[in-house]
Amino acid sequence: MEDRTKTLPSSYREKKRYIIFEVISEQKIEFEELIKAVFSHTINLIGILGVAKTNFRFLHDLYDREKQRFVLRCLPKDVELIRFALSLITEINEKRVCIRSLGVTGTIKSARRKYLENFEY
Amino acid sequence: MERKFYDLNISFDKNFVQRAKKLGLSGICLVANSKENIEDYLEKIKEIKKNETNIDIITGILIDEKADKILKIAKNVRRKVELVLVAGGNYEINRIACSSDYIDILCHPDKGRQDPGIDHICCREAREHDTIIELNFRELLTATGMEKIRELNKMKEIIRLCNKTKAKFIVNSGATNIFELRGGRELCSLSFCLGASLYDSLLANSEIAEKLILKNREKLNKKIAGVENGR
Repeated sequence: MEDRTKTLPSSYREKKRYIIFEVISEQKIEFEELIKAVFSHTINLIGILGVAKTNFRFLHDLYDREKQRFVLRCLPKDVELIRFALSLITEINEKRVCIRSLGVTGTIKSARRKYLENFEY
Repeated sequence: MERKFYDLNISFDKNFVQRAKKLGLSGICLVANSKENIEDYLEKIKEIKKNETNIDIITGILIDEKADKILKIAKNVRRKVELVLVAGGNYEINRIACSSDYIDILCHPDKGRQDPGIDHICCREAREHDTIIELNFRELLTATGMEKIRELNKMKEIIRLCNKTKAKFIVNSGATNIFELRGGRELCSLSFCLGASLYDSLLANSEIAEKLILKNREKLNKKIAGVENGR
């Protein structure tokens, strides 16, 4: 027997939201630096337990290097908290930055369609 | 329809306009200090307005003076600019600002204090006289360690008092450089995280600010019957 649990039915799964952020900076920010800053600032504001409870996840595959856009996953009720935590970032590795949220989506597909590719209606 | 977000306390600088556009703000108030020459300031704003059409640029004066001079200055500048702001921090100043019809926004009432700087009396006065109490995002950005916790605590207390007394509040960035400027939703998330409802926090930075500006503009443009050329 496979050592793997069965996929939960959709009604049993926890709801998710994907927040799309954009980094505005004078110099390009490296991906690793960004992850470190995002995690340290969120942990700084809401603590380790708080971060754990939000189902916080950095989606590595969806990082857009050119536009400096990235996607975070969290629970629907914690969207504003994550947004606030990231808005407190002013510096990453001595480079001055400003992080702005572009929007919130319910699926990765729509996040990609609306914010990460040149999509036209 | 998308919400229009406003930031009503930004230092006077041309560079802010482009960044504010990028962050999706619909209107910004480039604030000058009351000690500066108001005529020069208004000229500069006119020039900026000529070049920028997509963003609403609001004129405002920040009064940072002693308690006894505030009302006098506020009366003088009221007919020249769209917004009159007062730099708080002292209880006496906070109280005067809340109970005056000439003043629109009381900025950072908790600055340099251990307590929020306003009480239920101030809040009630603010509600009656339509003064908006400001939470300054910059205070939070510049604070470190324990200070940040204290700042958040004071802001939480201000929001609690405003909710209780139904006084209006607003979150402004108070930016002095372009990297301190924040988008509308980011400003709203601060008040939401500190206890305001999502509806109230969205309303604070959009409709309440918009109504205040429209009301003041109407007053400025209104001609009084029987009076010629404002005499």
